[in-house]
Formats: sequence, C-alpha cells, structure tokens
Amino acid sequence: MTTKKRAVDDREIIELFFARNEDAIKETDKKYGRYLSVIGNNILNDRGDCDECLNDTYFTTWNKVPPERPRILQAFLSKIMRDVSISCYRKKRSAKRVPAELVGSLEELGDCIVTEADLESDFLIKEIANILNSFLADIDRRKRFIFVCRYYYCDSVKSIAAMLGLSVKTVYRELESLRGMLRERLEMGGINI
Amino acid sequence: MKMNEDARIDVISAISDEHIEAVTIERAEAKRRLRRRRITVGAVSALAACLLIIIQGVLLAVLGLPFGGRVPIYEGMTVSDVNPIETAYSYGYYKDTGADVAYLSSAKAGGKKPLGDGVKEHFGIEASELIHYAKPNEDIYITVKINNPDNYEILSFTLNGEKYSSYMFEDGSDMSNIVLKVNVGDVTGRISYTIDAIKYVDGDRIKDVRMDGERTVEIGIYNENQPTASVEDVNIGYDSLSFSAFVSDPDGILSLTEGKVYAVIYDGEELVKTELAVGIATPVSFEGLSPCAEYQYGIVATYDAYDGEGYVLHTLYENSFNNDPAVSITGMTLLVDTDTVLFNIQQYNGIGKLLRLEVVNEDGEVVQSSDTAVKKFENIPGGKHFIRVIYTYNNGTEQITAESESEKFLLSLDTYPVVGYIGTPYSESHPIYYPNLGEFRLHTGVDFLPSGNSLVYSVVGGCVVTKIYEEREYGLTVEVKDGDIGYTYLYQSLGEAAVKVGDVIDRGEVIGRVGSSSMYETGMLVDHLHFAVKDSGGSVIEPVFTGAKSHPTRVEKPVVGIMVIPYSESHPIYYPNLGEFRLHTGIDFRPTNGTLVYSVVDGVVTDIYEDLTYGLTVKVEDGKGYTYLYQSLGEATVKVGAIVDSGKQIGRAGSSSLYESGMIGNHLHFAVMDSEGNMIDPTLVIEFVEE
Repeated sequence: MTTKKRAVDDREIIELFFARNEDAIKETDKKYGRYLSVIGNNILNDRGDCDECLNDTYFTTWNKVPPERPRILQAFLSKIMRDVSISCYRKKRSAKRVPAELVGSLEELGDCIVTEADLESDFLIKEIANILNSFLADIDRRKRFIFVCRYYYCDSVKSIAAMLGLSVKTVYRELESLRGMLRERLEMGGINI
Repeated sequence: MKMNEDARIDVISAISDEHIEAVTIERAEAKRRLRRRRITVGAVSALAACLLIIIQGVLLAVLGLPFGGRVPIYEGMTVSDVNPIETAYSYGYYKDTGADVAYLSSAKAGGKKPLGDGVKEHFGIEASELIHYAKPNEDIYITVKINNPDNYEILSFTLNGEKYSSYMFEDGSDMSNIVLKVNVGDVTGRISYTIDAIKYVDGDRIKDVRMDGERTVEIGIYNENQPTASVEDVNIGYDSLSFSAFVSDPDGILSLTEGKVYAVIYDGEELVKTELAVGIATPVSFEGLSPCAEYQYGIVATYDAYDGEGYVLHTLYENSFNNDPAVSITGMTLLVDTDTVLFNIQQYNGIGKLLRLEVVNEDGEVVQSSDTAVKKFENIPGGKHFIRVIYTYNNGTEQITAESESEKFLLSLDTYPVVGYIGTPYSESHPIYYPNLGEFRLHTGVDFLPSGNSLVYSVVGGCVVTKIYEEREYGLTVEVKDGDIGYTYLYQSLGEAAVKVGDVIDRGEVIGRVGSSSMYETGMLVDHLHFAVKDSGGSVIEPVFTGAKSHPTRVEKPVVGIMVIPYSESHPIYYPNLGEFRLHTGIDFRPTNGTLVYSVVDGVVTDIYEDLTYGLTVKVEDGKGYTYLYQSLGEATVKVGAIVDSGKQIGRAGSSSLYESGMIGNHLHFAVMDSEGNMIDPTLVIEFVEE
C-alpha cells in the first residue's frame, strides 16, 4: 500500500522559514516552483534566466521571512519572482531575443500610460500608480482579474481567456476597453496626455 | 509622448498588494479548475480532433475548402455626414455610400445666379472629381471597408498617425464595415485622411490586414469668406462698355483650387471674356458692341468653393443693359395748340441709314409716316403716341435693319372720361360763380355730364392708381399716374370708385361712377365728373381734347348701305323742301342692297308714329338712357313693345320724311336722343363698323 504524503500548507511552510529549516525552500519549490516559473517565463522567455530568477526568489524569500510573515504566501512569492525577473529583464533586454509577453503587454500599455511630463519623475510614476490603484478598485472583479493577469503577471491573452472560459476576442476587447477607461481616468486625474 | 518602458514597469509594479493578493488567489483557483477541465476534456478532445481531421480532409477533397482563415483585405474608405449603417437600419434599407470616394451633398454656399447657361458653356468646364465636403468643426463618418470573409476581430487601425481601437468604433460597425466618427476641426480648405495600418486578431496573435484599397480620402472644408467682386465707373456707349473691376479674395480660395476670375460680356450668343487679377482695381473695356442690343456683363470665377458643387463657374457680379441705338429720336418738343411734335434725329458716328419715320398710337397703329428725315409731325390726333425710326446699319458683318422709339408723348386726349358732354369747361382766365361758395373761382378742370350710363372711364392707358381720397373741394377723387408721360389725371366728384390703389389701368377701363360729392359744385350740376390734369411738375394744366368723344359702342350700320348725310350740329344744310337751312340732327343712310332697316342695339320698341318732320318712325330705347329713332321709313315691321336684338329687322327705308323727301330717294334718317330728350351726335354713342 502506498501512502501519499499530504501537501504542506502555506502556514507550515512559513513556520519552516521561521525555524530556519531549509526544508522551507524545498517545500516552496515543490508547491510553487512551477507556478513561479510561469511568471518568470512570461517576463523573460528564457529557461536559464528563469531558473536563475527562481533561485534568487527563494534566496530573497529566505532573507525576508522572518521578520516578515506573508499573509498570502503565493502572492508574496509572486511579487518577489516578478521583481527579480523584471530586474533580470532590464539587465538583459539589450540582447536580441524572442520577446516575452512582458514586451507585448508593455506595448499595449503605451496606449494609455502616456504623458508629456518628465519621464524620470518618481513623483509622476507614483501619481499614475495611485490613479491606477484607484481605477482597479472601482472596476469589477472580472475586469480587474484580466488587467492584473495581463499587465502584472504578463499572462498571454490566450491563457487568460482559458482561465475565464472566454474567447480570445472577448479578452482582447476587454483589454482595449480597460485601457480606454484607464486613459480617461488618468486624464481626469490631471495627467496630461 | 510615451513613458519609457521602465517607467511603465514601475507603474505596474506599484499595483497594491491588496489587488495582487486578490487576483493571485483567483488566478490560482482558475488554473486549478482549468487543469481539471483539461484532463476531462482531453480525452473527448482527442476523439473530436480525430473526427475533425477526418471531416476537414473530406471537405478539402470534395469541396476544395482550405484550412485556416483568409487574410482580411482593406478595400477602401468612404466618407459621409451621417453614420451610414445606423441610417440604413433606421430607415429599413441599405444606403449604398458608393465606391472608394463617396460624395454626399453638404450645405451649399449660396451666391448669385450665373449669367445664364450660355456663359457656362463658353467656359467649357468639365465635371470635376468630387470629394466629400464639410463645414468647419463638422463631424464626418469614415467607413473602413474590409473584405473579411472569416470575420476576424479587427482590433484597431491607424488614421493620420492616430490609433483607433475597437471600442472607439461607432455603433453598428462590424468586422467588414468599421465606422469612425471624426471631427474635421476648425480648418478650411482641403484636408486628407490616410489609413496607415489595420490590425486584426488571429488566435492569440495580432496581425496586419492586407492593404489593397485607396488609403487616402480628401475632404473639402467650406470657407465662408468667399471671393467677392465690385464694379465702378460704368460707362455705356452705343458700341462700347467700360468699367473698373475689383476682385477680393482675402483667404486665397481662388488660388487654393487654381481658380481664375474673368470680366465677361454676353449678348445671348457670343461671350467675350478677359482675365482679371485679384486684389487690384482693373480697368475693363469691351468695344465693337452692336447698337440697340441687350447685353449681360459681370465678373465670374472658376473654382471649387468646397460647397459640394465641385469646380464650377461662380458669378461674383452681374448686370445688364440695353446699349444706345445707332439712330434715336431726341429733343422732342410738343406744341399742344397745333397738335405738332418737333424732334431731332441723332445718329452715332454717322452710321445708320434712315428708312422711315412713323407716328404710332397707343394701339400700335401708324397714324402718320415719312420716308425722309423730317423734324416734325403735325396734326397729331388725340391720345398717346410715340415716334418710331426704322433704319439700317452695318455691324461689321452684315446689314441689320433696326428700329428705335422715342418716349411716348401726349398732345391731347381723344376720349372723354364719360359717355356724355362737357358741362363746364376748363377756365384759368375767366372765373365762374360758385353759388355754394358765394364767390367766383377759377375752374381748373373740366366738368362732364353723363348722358347715358354713369360710368367714368380712364382716358389713357398705362396708368397706375396712386390715390383714392375725399377732397374737401371736389369730393371723392381717384388719382391716376401716367407712367409714360408723367401726368396725373384726377377723376373727381365721384359717387363711387371702382378701382383700388396700385391697380394698373388700361384706356377705357372703368374708374368709377359720377356723383355729386364735390362741395364746390353740388347743386350747380347734377351727378357729374370733375376731371383735372397735372403735369409732371404737379402743376394743373388744361386737358385738351382733340376729336374726342365718349366711348362709343361698336355696331353695324342700320342698313346695308352708305352714309350720305352726316350729323351736323354746326353746319346747317339746305332743305329744298323747306326752302331753308337747318341743322341735320341725325345721319342719313341710303341702302344699296334692298331697303331693310335693322336695329343697331338691343332694346325695346317703345313707339311707332308719324313724325311731322321725318315721317314714319320706330322708336327703340336701349334701357341705358338712349333712344334710337329709325325715321323716314317706308314700313315698320315690328310692333310697340317688341324686344329687339341688334341686327333684328325693324322696318324698311322709305321717303316718308317731309324734310328730306326727294333729296336723296329712299333712305333712313337715323337719330339718337339722350335721356333728356336732346338730339345728340349718334357717333358719340355708337361707332359704325365697316362691313
């Protein structure tokens, strides 16, 4: 008779981190490794870079927890993986390679996040981010899901459509509509387009 | 300007943890559901996929249908001023907006009517290619036509560098006809819209639509500040026209569409034109015109006003004139006392050969003529006349016969305004006594007493009633202005007016009825007409009547015969039977074919008797105040009380007149009495027409 080992829940993994038990990394990789790889691949579209970023993610998590105790481990790990992958992308984007979903999603965002002001202004970025968060709070759940999946997680339109059980056309249309709404919201917020 | 990529990454990275957490959880759950579904569906899909492959293979083998989709192809754009798809559906039919470049009418600019169609033909303007037209700040609808048999999702297109996404498409758009609303902006002139690229979705990829059609459409935007023209210092000669022309085009609309502007003159067949400059006063001169001809002249321009008409001829200024004749009558002088008109004949540069001079009356009849260059005509009858000169001249190509006419003139009146007599004549030098006023006054008009009906008639034609009023002295007055002569005729002491102000009056038309409304003359005369005339300066003048008579009724003679002795109230004739001279107060007719006598008017036989002087008499009254006496009859063939029509036999001529027996054989003595029983000249009441 084979005994199947129960999956370790997030609370237990976090306790392993707090206990400085290296099994924490193993269990994290086991549970979220593949999931985090998808995020990395969406940004980098390169297996090697992806693995590198995954290791960096675990390393960063080990250093952050403790003292931080993530409320939702998956989201906590996703954010780190994304940040690490973005940093990697920034370093290596000059090299010619097949563009990942990130590139496409950033291009799309060019429709609505435009400004004549100083491009390097942290204040402006913060202003726009505030308006974006307010915008996301106001739209319905499905729209928010689509927006965050596409532009934060850089999921492909196809995978978003599959997750929601919608057609690709419908998702594209939603994205177009969301970008238009965001553009209007930015204009109303005084961001000169 | 786009933010750089890093800035956009930073913006997205700043999405709050709250949103990230919520979506993360949903996303994880969604992926789990998807995995479970895929496992279940996988087996079914595998089977379905096999079947699909088999079916597709059959379709390909049997029907030749290809796998996969067909690339959408851009075919062109149309422009309209309403949403063509919405309009079609709301009216229940499809409105074909035409081919690649559509044209729908826009509001027109207005402007003057050109110098006739003949002018346009002379410019030979061909139909220009029409573009769409709009006004500044107007919305237009651009319809992008795509051949998209597989109905791919059209994601966006770029127009003039601007990207238009699907959510910006107008209602009713589909994947083959995409309608976009665009405002043309606050511009004028010619603008264009160019499609750069169109994107569509194929699966998870964004691709480019193939661009086959015309990518650019042009719009003409109307400018209200259209070119204008003015003309000054116009000088018209008998064979020339000159003026100064100024064309203004502040917004350069003419040059925008390679327009040109011309001064033109047109005679209905030939056109002469000369090009003008814009912005400066240009002297224009046309010579070699035909005398006595009608010309149109003006300033026209050929250009596209962007008002929906295309490149056409526009009239900026127009006028017309009749230039002077080669020969004309000038300097007329009227000598009223002698019924004579004096005049000069003017010939321009000696051209023109005189053929004939004529005096023509109001009815167009020539009353006098001469084939020499006389300078006067005498004994002009009463009524309005003009002099006509008929001449020939050579216009450089051929000999032309032409005529010109003088102004109308009036030496005397030939018609009384009533059927009646002059009661009190005009008297500027000898005052008459007015019992109503108890004093003597000058009588600056003519009083007429009606002897038949009470109607008052216009003495001349071509007049307009200018006033109707109650004058203190002369009562109800109708004033009539003679536009040809400049005289004013006053019909006064009326009992009733039958016209209204503004009426145009012909000669002989009824003005009203006589009355006694004159304060001065009431009681002096029974119902009468006080008739006065003022000249063009407003001064009262004496109305002169030459051979005038009241308006007679045209009738046939009472016998088939000739008049042998006329009515003579002034010159007595000798009656051998009486051995003395007497006035002849009737007309003697001698029948030349039989002896039958006919009634000249409709009436009633009121008496048949033997007159001591004129023998057997049949008396007929017309009910209008006149009594007709058919005398010296041999036989009466009617009875008293009989109603007779004009032309009905009433008797036979004879020699029963005591006065005239033996003088002229069988004859009819025909006389007329007025309502007072006075014998009157029959021709005052009736006019015998020639058989």
